[in-house]
Amino acid sequence: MIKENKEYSSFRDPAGYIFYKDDKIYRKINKCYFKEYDHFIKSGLYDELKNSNLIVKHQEIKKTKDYILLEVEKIPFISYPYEWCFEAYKQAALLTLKITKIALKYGMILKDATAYNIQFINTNPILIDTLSFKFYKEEPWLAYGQFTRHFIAPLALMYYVDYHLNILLKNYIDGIPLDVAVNILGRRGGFFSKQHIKWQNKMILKHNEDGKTNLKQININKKTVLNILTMLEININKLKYKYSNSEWLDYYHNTNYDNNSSISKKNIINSYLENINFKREDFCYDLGANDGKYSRLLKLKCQNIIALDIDINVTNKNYEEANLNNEPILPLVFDLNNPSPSIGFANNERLSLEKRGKSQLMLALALIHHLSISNNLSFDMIAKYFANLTKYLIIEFIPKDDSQVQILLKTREDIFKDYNEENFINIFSKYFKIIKKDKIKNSKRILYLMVKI
Amino acid sequence: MYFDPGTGSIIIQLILGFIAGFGAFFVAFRTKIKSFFSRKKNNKNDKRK
Repeated sequence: MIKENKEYSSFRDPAGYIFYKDDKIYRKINKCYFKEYDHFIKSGLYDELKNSNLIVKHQEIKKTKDYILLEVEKIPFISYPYEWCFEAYKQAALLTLKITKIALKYGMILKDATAYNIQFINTNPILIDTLSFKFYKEEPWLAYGQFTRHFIAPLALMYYVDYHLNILLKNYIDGIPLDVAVNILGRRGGFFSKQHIKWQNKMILKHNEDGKTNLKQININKKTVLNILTMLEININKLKYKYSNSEWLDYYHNTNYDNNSSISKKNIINSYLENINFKREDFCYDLGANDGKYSRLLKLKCQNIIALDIDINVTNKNYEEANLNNEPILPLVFDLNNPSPSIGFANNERLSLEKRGKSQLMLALALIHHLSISNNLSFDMIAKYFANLTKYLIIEFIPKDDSQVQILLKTREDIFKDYNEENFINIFSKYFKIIKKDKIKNSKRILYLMVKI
Repeated sequence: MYFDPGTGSIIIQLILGFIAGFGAFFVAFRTKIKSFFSRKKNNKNDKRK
């Protein structure tokens, strides 16, 4: 019998659960879900979804009278909806609708529509819950309420109010409550929000004590559900990201890098990459990735580059570009000064970054001065956190007399006496072994390749 | 929480279904008209040949 290290967040579904063993992922399906699972496989629904890369792949490895055991394809990096940029969020919503429509062809429908069931492999969304399907009888879509809280409300708030607003999901783990969304939207939101959020909220309040009595009279058939799904697809597709001026959007035009130093920096990083081996499922972080200029250097070596940046505009742009060119990059919105916490019951359902596994390599380029000088973090705090995130580290040290650091110091008192290269080396050496060090040409900056001790 | 948010989310689908049904009908109607005119155009083009 396999000793099970059960996934904490699997507790909601009586149909089965996920567990981990020897770096592999398994799904155990309980007897109560056998009929649905059988139809899901034999009807051809699974094959259609699998062949179009819409669902996570699995292999049946054991079948008893009480359970079925599947080995499930590993997703290299788990991300959460409060880290997705707008375009990624939109693609996740569209995938959920697409899968629901396909399932209807085979007499099934999605019984859950939570955003946590969608993960990204690079920029491609994929459904990770094989047990999300139930038989469809001529009835309304029971997961529509959840779809609204998890997808429509975040998208509408992002699009009509502010693109940052999916951060509300860090607080509301089962999607944004519709009354909250209504209050934030006010008169904004167009007809799209009116139908799905404002009217639905009214209906919820009106019928909150009806129980199941009213439901029998509701006459909704498959054609109606399909029409609603198509209308949602059309409406969501119409929400196109509007770029605003942001500090970081034109960053590389405003830095003190000339062409030579930029080439030198790229060459050094490329030479460092020769020292590191990557497996297919390894992932890399690029912290403060901006538009992904340097993340793209990792493309030949690493199949899963996680490009993290605080700026929503550059992240969205990076996502669109990576998606267009089919690059192995997943850009995510991420504030290093306040990283995603672990959330959910007992803070165990959705994990903080450091609990989601270690990256093989992390790039921290042109970043240390922002952490140390803008946010007063000591080198020790930074090095310790980085050591929790990665095995290899490529980090750029920017001395105090660099013009970008001088800009940061313009409006601050220089209380950063310890900000010098000697201290940097001493303190990072507590956590990392320095393998290489190179000066970037035509600049005062220095690159380091380190490996965790 | 004692109240049930599910019922309202289901009943609203009656209204949405009506709107979406109207939309679908409109789209189908528009496609038919478009294809009717494009067929006419094509016929004309054919005659010119």
